Amino acid sequence: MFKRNNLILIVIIILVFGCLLLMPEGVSSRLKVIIGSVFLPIFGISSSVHKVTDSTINITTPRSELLSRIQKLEDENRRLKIDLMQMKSVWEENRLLRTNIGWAAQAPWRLKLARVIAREPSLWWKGFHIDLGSKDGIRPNLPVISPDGLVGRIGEVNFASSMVILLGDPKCRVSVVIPEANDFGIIAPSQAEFFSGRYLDLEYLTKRNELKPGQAVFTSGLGGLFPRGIPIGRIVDVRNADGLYLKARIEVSANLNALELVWVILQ
Amino acid sequence: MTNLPQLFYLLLIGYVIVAMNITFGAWLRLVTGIYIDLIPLLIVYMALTSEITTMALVGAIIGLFFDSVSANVLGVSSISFIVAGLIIYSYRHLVLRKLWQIQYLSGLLCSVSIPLITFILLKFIGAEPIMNFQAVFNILISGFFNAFLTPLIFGIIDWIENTFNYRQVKMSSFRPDREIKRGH
Repeated sequence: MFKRNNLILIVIIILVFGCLLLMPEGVSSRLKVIIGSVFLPIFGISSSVHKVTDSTINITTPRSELLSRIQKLEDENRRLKIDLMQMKSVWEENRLLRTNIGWAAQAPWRLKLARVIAREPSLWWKGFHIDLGSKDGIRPNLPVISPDGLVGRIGEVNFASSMVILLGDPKCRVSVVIPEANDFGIIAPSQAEFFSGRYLDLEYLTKRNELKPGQAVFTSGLGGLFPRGIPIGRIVDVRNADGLYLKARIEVSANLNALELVWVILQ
Repeated sequence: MTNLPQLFYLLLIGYVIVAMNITFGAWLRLVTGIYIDLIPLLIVYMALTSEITTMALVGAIIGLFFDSVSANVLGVSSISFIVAGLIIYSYRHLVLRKLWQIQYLSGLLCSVSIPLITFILLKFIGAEPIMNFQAVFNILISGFFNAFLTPLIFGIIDWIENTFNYRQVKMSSFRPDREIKRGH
């Protein structure tokens, strides 16, 4: 059945790959970037297909619809300008107060828009690839957000693309705060999630009486990776995990399955 | 030892399947909730029709391709592809490989065993892959779906092989040296 020479060759191949499994994460990550570069043309094609689709949609959309959309956007733009004016005065007030009590000033976020070009192929992990890489100043662990809230963090970075590890992946644990209950917890993958991908577990909660469904969940800023105050979602239900802690199920604000554009916080 | 043109087009097919997995396959999974991965079918094809070295080499390289675009630990898919291929290779001399029933069952076995071997390996090296009800459901559904696709994939790869390789010379049962010469 198996010839001796073939068997030796297969044992050698398995041993080599066994050694690959035990390599340090940094080396393994660099090797991944090198091997993954064979898929750069695919990422390029995927990105181009999105652009062509967008331009085709723009061409085929009726003029009346485009005009009404422009009108809506102009209205929204005016409203946002007023909000921004108000925010600027609040920002200035905040800066002055921080200076008075000797707190470090908060720097505004530097954001970079990215397009989702490919998705995680395996069952076990949650992630996608974006069209920004080291050439755009992207580094591992930078936070990724959408207008609805936190999305995840940057994992491996290639020259022209990067992998985003999504909320709910075991490699993306986030410390969160529930301001209404004044409680802290950690986001974990949901054990009962089915299809939607919108529910996550929140672990290590302690405030039994204060936690209620509907309360908003934000990043706590603890841990240093994610800035404080990014919305994540809302509590759906709370249950007992063990004698000491509570566990809550939260519905994530951002629809992680349907994202096409995301923002990377560079600073 | 190894048929180089065959190795080349099997690698090419593997590359295309991985590329499809990260683009269309992933979108399909998000829309329908069903995880379809054609790599196990390629492994079944190689285990039932190719030499063992071709199967091991192509399985190892496609595994590296797959892991490089995934959050998997590098090399884990290569090992699971080779091991699953070896399981099927070990019984191929006992079965009629051209029968669609055998291809169907082998497709089912490979599609279910690859994720399980990968999961065990990941756990063994200390990673924390998500294994919830959805993952189990996906493995079973994709196993049955892939099993139906296996005979089809055999047909497609055979067609590609016939296109790229020299046609087989059909041997006739007629042998001129055994012809009975009459009338001399």
